[in-house]
Amino acid sequence: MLLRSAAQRQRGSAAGIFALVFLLAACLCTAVTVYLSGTDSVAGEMARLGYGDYTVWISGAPESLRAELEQVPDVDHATVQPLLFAGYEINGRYSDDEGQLLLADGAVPYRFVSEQGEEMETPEIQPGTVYISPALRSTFDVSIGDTIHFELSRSEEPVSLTVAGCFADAFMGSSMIDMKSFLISAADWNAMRDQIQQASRADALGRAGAMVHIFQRADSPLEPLDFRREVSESTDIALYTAFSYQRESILSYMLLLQNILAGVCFAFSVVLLILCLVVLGHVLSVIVEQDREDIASLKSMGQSGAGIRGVYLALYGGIILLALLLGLATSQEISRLLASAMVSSTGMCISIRFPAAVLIPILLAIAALFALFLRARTAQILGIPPVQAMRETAGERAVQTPLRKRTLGLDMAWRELCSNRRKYIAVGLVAGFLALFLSVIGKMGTWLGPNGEGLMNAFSVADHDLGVQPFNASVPMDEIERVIQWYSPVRETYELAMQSVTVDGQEYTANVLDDTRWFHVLAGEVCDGDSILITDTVASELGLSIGDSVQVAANGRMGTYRVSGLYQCANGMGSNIGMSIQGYSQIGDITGYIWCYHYILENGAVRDYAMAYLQDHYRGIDVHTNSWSGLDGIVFVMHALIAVLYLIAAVCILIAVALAAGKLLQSEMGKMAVYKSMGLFAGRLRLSFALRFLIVVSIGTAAGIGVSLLFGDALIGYLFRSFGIGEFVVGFSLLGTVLPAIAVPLLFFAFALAFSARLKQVSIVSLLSESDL
Amino acid sequence: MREAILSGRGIQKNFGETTVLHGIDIDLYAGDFTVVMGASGSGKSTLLYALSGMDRVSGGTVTYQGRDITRASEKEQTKLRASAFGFVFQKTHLIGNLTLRENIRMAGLIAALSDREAAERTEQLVQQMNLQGAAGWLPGAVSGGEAQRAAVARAVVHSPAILFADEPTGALNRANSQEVLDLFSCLHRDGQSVLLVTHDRDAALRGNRILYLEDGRITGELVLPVYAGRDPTRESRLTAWLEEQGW
Repeated sequence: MLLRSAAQRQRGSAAGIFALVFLLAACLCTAVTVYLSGTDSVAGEMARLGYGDYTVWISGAPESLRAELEQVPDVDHATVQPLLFAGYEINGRYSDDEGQLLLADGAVPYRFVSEQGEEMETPEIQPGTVYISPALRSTFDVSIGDTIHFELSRSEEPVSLTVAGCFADAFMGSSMIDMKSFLISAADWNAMRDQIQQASRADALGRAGAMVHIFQRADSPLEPLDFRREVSESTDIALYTAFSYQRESILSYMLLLQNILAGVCFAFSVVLLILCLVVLGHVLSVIVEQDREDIASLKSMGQSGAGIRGVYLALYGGIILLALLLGLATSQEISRLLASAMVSSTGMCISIRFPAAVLIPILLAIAALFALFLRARTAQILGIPPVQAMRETAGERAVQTPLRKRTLGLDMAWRELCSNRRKYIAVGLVAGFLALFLSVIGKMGTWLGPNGEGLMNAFSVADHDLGVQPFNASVPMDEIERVIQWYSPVRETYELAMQSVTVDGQEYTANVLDDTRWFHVLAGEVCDGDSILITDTVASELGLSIGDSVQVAANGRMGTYRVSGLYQCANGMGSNIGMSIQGYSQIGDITGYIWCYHYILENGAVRDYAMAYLQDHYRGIDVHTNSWSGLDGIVFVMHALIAVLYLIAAVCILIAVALAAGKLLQSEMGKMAVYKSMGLFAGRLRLSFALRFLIVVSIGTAAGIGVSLLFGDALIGYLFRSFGIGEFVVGFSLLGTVLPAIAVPLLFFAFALAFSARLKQVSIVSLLSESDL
Repeated sequence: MREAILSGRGIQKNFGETTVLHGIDIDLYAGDFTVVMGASGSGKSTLLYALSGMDRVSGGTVTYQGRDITRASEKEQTKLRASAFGFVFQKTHLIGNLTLRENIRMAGLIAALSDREAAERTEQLVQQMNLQGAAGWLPGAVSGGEAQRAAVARAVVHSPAILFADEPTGALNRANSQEVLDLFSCLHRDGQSVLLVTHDRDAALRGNRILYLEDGRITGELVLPVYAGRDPTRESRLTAWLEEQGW
């Protein structure tokens, strides 16, 4: 009976706590589910498709390479999957990079999926058809029935294949990878391979190659990097390598978006947990205070303090448990929605599995935390003496603050805050944590930029609007530059070559610039003829610091270089170095068509038009911008995430205000009635009431934003380092500073104003009868 | 014939199915100390709140300076409370985090007084109500009598046309009650119009016009000379009249 009565009287508070805990459980369980399911799905799919611990893309290698690899002591075995590489055109758009043509002979069990990423039955691949990654669909706006033209040789017409469906590739399907894979029939694959082989070297546009999957022995003690080094040093594989990735790097690429999403959701869950505890603590102390007389009466009737406390524990414990379970159930559906939304980025639909072994202990731990917290906060019930007829009025402090006619509303609000600080601490804390979180998220949004500029710059060697790489002498570069100038004056230009090198025996990509001032140097100095720049990732992998000497080798030549500094380039998850043209020329060949001309335009907005024109009118060139396929998808998801988080934050504020304002108003009805009887307009009373929230929330928000300004960049930078992004500096920004600084107090103010509307409706006599002063 | 400053005609108030006031006609005159007496539950407080516009009536009109305040907007009624009416309740209903002095001054600021006028008028009332020693304290730290005197001062800081008082001595001991009633008498002598509802005979003695309310209807009226200290003749007239009314 007591429980039913308490549930009826406290249904508003209970509903608010339920909503907050539900949000917490849904957010946390979604983060954990997406993270674990994503990792399991991609890792499982990679294993199923035969990806090795170390996978190398090669071309021109002898057949003996596999045997040579299997002689390496720590290599268990190696498998070779034949590939064809060719440029392609879809719906009038030429790809920036070559496509990777996979042979569908059943040797590799690719999964076939719908355009939404849902698994389908394995079809018989017909000659003349091609299966693509769902990520390509979003990049090139290609649909089933469209035609893709593959350019294999200059003298022959491109090979045209019709898109028949989608398949899941656990690596080349990701929008994070420029090179996309295409699954074609054995008949087409053999015909295309023959065409490439028959073309002369000058005529050939496509090339044959292979993916070599190298598996480490189970008992091998080597770390992944050491294993990679051993393979490179013990064999000639480096001579034929186009690029290579360790299993961990592939996972990082494939899971980039999932990990960012899961990380943000997890961080938000921590904030929500703190909010739940703060709000629950506030609500319980107010409720116990309001129920003081009833509790005393019940005790006088022989009810024990523990029994009364049990009612509160049962009510709120039950609500919290229910919210946790409902949040858990909902999170699985949210995770499926997220997985579906990320197909355009990952190229495969991650299979959402309920990670009971992880989630249940986490939720039990949270439930235990809440139980302890509830016990602690309801302990005051035990100390209430029986028959406490008069409510204690202590608590209001004697403070002197000015009361002036012109600023009476504000002065009244300030007086209330100063007199009853304790009542508003929870509101200030909630505001502070929300502002801190929204500011950090806003910083990420600012860094990302409206078009993903943050990621573009992080993943590119140096800033540019347009890059043009000619592949032969017939490309009229003078004319191409005039075309670019026609679109926009060129502010700066420089040349970049990306070449494979080894650094202390470890394979990396060397980004070679003819003008080294374009490198994003984070620490130390820019490189010269005797030095190189390294990323944080390389520094960590090889244990290098500025001033160290390293051996850099390419094409069988080796040189000793000093590390002049650290620079930012997340390409290959940061597995690259920066060199000057003078430095690289000591070990590598700088002639030939290795150079890509980078242009920084006065008007960068025209770059896509210029790129489209050049792609349409010139052959033998690769034209690209600073962006990459699939970036739009990532930017869209991130921006949507920021919007959703703001929405959830607004809901949290609504609940926090509903709980705090409801209780405050209830306890102040008498006071409000007296003010009304003195002739104070309800509108001014409401304004003054909402101003209290505005003041305390502004203080909390300022603290939250301050912490974000001081530590936000460092915190995000630390997280981003795992993605190869070595530097994160945003500082003061509209999205990260101004928006939360305005939005959080305004939302609190607006909701408090809305909740105080009952002051306008209810008559003074009713208000007076509702509460004594 | 005197002109009424506040007139109620056919005032009716229902609470659900129950009718508390049955079409009451009443006039309040400038300078009068009108007392409404009656047993508990007779509708005294309801009548006071209906006449003062603090509560909506179910029927009838209340006219102040020619305007029906029952039809006035919330804004107009609020203005009226800030300018023309003052209220004293049974419980002091002082604002707990304002000192007595600030409680008085706050009412002045809410009304039309400037900062300086409110401060000056507050000090004047502090002296008049003999609150010099307690004015700087919060309501919780002073005696019931001091708090109620401060509540009276707060009600008259803006010199209202009518001072409404709902059982102002109901929660006070005898000594404090006398102090507060003396204040009312003093204010009345200075020209303040008062409407006081009470079931206390001593409080009723302070009025010069006593109305008796029974079951939501005015059943009798007694006019007495203005109170000028204890007067056995006045007291016996009131006692006799109350007995007539069934007190």
